[in-house]
Amino acid sequence: MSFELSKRVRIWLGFTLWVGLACTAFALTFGFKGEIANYEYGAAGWPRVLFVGIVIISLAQLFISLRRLKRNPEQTDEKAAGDDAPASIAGLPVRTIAVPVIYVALMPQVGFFVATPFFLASVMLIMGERRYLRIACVTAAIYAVVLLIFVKLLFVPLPIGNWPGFYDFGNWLLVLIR
Amino acid sequence: MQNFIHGTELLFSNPTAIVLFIAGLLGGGLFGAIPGISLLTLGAIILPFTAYLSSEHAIMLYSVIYCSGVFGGAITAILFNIPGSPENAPTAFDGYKMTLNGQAGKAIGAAVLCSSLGGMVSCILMMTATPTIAKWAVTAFNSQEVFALIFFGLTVAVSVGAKTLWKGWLSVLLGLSIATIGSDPAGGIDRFNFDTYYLLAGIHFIPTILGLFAVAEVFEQSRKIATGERKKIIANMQMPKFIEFWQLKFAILRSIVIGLFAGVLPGIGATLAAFLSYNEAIRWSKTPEKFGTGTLEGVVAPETANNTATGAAMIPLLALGLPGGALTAMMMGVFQIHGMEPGPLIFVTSSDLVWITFSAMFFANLAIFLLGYIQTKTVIHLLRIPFQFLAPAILMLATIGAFAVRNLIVDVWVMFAAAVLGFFLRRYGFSPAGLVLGLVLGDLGESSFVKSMQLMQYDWMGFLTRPISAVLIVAGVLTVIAGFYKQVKKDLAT
Repeated sequence: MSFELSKRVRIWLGFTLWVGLACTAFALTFGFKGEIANYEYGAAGWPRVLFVGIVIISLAQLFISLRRLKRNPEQTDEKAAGDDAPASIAGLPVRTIAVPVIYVALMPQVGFFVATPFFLASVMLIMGERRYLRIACVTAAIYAVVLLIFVKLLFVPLPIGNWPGFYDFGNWLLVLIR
Repeated sequence: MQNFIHGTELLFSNPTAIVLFIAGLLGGGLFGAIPGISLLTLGAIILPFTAYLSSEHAIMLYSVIYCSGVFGGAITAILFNIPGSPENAPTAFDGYKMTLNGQAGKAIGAAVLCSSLGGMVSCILMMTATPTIAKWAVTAFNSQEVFALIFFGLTVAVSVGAKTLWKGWLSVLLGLSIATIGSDPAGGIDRFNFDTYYLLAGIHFIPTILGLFAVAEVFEQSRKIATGERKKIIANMQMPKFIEFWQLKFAILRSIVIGLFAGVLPGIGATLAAFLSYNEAIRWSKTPEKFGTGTLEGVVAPETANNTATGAAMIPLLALGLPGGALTAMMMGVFQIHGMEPGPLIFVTSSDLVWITFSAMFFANLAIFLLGYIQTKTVIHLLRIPFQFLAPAILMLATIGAFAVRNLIVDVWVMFAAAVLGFFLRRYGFSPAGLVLGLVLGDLGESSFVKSMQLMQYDWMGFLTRPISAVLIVAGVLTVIAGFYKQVKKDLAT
């Protein structure tokens, strides 16, 4: 899944991203509804100045980068180290981002109390830990500290889940701890 | 001096006062260190119970929480890139890099000493000149000056941690743009909220900071583990030497002045004090390129300023009844619970309250120094924990911290989105620190611009008719021109 882009493509891609973002946001400012009686620049004035600023700076950066590339086509200063990470998006390992995404997506349904031990163990696994007994012990320790501090002492209302069974378990655990 | 001795007597002769002092010190330190659970949470929790305390003890308790809470977040910012409170976010820019460079002890030692020093200086000033300073600050600083100050600060923020000036500007402009999400400050008109309830209040900066720094760092370390680039962090307990502080004496003095101004002015407070002080440290440094790579001055500047601002924030509260931030607004609530009204007369009618508060804040800052020394020698051992065990704890703390801000799961999504953004920004030479500076200063910058325009009837020259704002605007414009000139010259030469 790793892929490498040429320097020129990277420069144009970066420019397109910034300008595209600024132009889209600028266009959206025309959708702001309502007039402000005592302020003549309106709700769109300040953000529009910022977006124009982004476009100007992006153009300057594009010009300078292309000029530098033309003078020195061999340079690879923007190729960050580690682009060859296994299964990565521009160096960010897919599994590193997948685990938190799955965790946060599942948390409202299965609840914090059920999802968290699996999340903790998964993070240790993707960080390269393979001693399962240690993973179990550390998971239990972090889980216990979290429950003690945030649930028992600070009463943070962590999600208990929506799905039947998970909700009941979360609720039961919450009552038990408090 | 007699008043101070009297305040000290009141503080240490009463067992209830001593217990409250210690509880405030430890509670503030703990709540300040846990991301998302700030000292405001603690302040809100204990507010109803203050009705059972005397007014002197209640205000004293809040002032001690304020001092220790602002310091508490520095430890996690330095060790794990997790700023416990927004006030400590700029401390992480260089503090965490120092930890990676094996200088955690030095960074924490500097944070402890400077927090304590800044806090004590502001206490002394508070004791000697509260009414005079409060009156001057309120009359001399209008919205024009606040806008000029923020403009001046942002002009230097572009050089924090970015590979080029262009990338620095893009990072700051992105932060300022994100700050426009929600509603506009002039008429409350919806902006970029796509008719969703969540975005009405804008993107909260605590989940954003947690994502950009703490979670993005876990992502980065994970990448390094995957590619075999990761090096072990050395838990070095070497404290900073006196000579190193002496070399930073001007930076410390400058940060104290910034902290005092920021604390006295309503709406600025400790968070902006830390950011502005960090910016000025870069502006005045002979080696600005070292900022963001782990320089001691990058820790000293924000930590001195944020604790200085705590004492200074009490000045307008007590002398004029004007709270400058959320915690001082809670103190107003305490006054109201006890049927009191702060203002010039409070120095006459409730001198016991004033002086026990001043003394408690002074001794709280002194205690920070002692507690901090012990903390430096103990918490640094956390770095010996292998990263594969530390990473889940960091992610867990950040997740709960982001969720606890408003009890919304969307904030956790925002945090992870910010983490991915932060990962790529860093990777391609942009500056997450610049983005955060833009995000934090954006709201206040726009609202002070709106007020200034209304006051000046859209005459832009109005910024140059008031001396303080004129100096700040001209200095800011010169900084921008000089920065562009240097960058273009460098680019054309290569």
